[in-house]
Amino acid sequence: MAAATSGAMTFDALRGRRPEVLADLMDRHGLEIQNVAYLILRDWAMAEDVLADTLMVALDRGDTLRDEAALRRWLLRIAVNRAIDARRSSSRVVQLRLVPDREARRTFDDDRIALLGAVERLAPRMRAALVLRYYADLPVRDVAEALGTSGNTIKTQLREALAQLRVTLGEADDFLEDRHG
Amino acid sequence: MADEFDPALEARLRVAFGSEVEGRRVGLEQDHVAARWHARRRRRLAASASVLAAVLVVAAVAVAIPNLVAEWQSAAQPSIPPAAPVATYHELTALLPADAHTGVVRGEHHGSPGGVGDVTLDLGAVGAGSPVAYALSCLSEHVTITFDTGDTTPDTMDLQCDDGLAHGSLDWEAGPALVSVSTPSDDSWRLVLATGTGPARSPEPFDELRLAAQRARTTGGVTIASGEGPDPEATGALLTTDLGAVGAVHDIQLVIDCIGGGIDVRVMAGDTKLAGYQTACQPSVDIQSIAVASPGPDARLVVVADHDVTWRLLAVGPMPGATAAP
Repeated sequence: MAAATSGAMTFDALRGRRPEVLADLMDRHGLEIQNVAYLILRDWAMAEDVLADTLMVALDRGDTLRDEAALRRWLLRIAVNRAIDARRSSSRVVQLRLVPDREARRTFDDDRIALLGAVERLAPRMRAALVLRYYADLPVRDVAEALGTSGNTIKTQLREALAQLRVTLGEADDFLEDRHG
Repeated sequence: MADEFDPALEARLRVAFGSEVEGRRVGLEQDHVAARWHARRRRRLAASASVLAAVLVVAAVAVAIPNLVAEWQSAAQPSIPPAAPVATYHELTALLPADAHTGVVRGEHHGSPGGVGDVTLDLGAVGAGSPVAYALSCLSEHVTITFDTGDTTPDTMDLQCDDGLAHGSLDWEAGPALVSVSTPSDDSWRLVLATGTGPARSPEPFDELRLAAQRARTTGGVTIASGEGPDPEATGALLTTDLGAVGAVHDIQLVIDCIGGGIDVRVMAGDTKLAGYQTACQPSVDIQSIAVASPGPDARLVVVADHDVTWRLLAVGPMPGATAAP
């Protein structure tokens, strides 16, 4: 009950656009927003910028929010849009990624690096759909709402993304098999 | 599961995403975000002012060209002061508490560049009811707001123009008053005040004070005096209320709830003050133990407070037979 009351207070403060709500928003949603942004951008500094932008936009537009239950989804929608925009504007920067050590045995880390590397090769909106579905654990309809599209479109994107990942991972598996002998 | 497409790969994704961000903390400071938000708001206000100024320049040029000859032939006309980029009433009203619907007064002043002296604008009357919620947009350092009840010296307060926009609540409990705002004449501001944000708070009832005393006092105790104020019959600015004899006790626990300025509680033996406690009114019940150095059977408890302070007090002494403090 206490959490519900506190959530209602956060909602009211946000609706009133009171700056002191920032601390509460950061406590309740900051880590998730930052992590979602990071998983889309793979850059912690940019993810922190997205978090700051998201909180400021939320404060500016808090009076438009009508449903307390939609707060998390609404924040994630802002964050994902900001992250996609940030990704587009930084797309000319070539980012170097960690690759498994030549001498290392194939480990869980190899799998994670390969998988995240494959995710990174997806289109930004597809990547955002994957992050919202499999990290933030949003149901498909909420992912659709966060990305401003229909549930069927998201299902199609997820299917397509998973298919692309399988292909990319197959290539990576071959590559790693060659390296590790 | 209807939304599952490739359970094995989806599970791998969940694990990979989770482990990638595991143990990560939020790297931002809340103060940093707040500072950025305020800075951005200031930039937007400045940008609005620039756009407005540009529009005015274009409009002024458009007006000036057809009238150029006439301008030459006539004496120079005073320029129209540009509207200041203060927040709109709509924006200000949105900053007020959701229940601040009644007793709204508002006003604005658009300063003329080069104006001299101060300008005072009457906004109207606010009724009884506390607090008074306010939302203010101004371009100066502060504005001075005056509440005039007509029967005492007008009460003035300075409202700071934090980053051009401020809102909050004024501690105004004295009842109906005429409100006016003063600023230097070249400053611009817009202000909305609202009463009716809920009934004025009354001190907690005695039962609540007794409960508070029980919670605070682990060794038990008995009520040795109680009272409330102000006495509606009393006159004068400073009122003294005698709560009666408290007996020869070494230690008294005061449980006070007051609203307004402050309260002065004294343990008196005739004209001699044996002990005392002065406090500013708190937003919650104030519990304080005082020691009486030389208690006597004729000790009485007396409260001194301004006439506009509403208070209720309970004094608790040790249980009969309890060991006296050394």
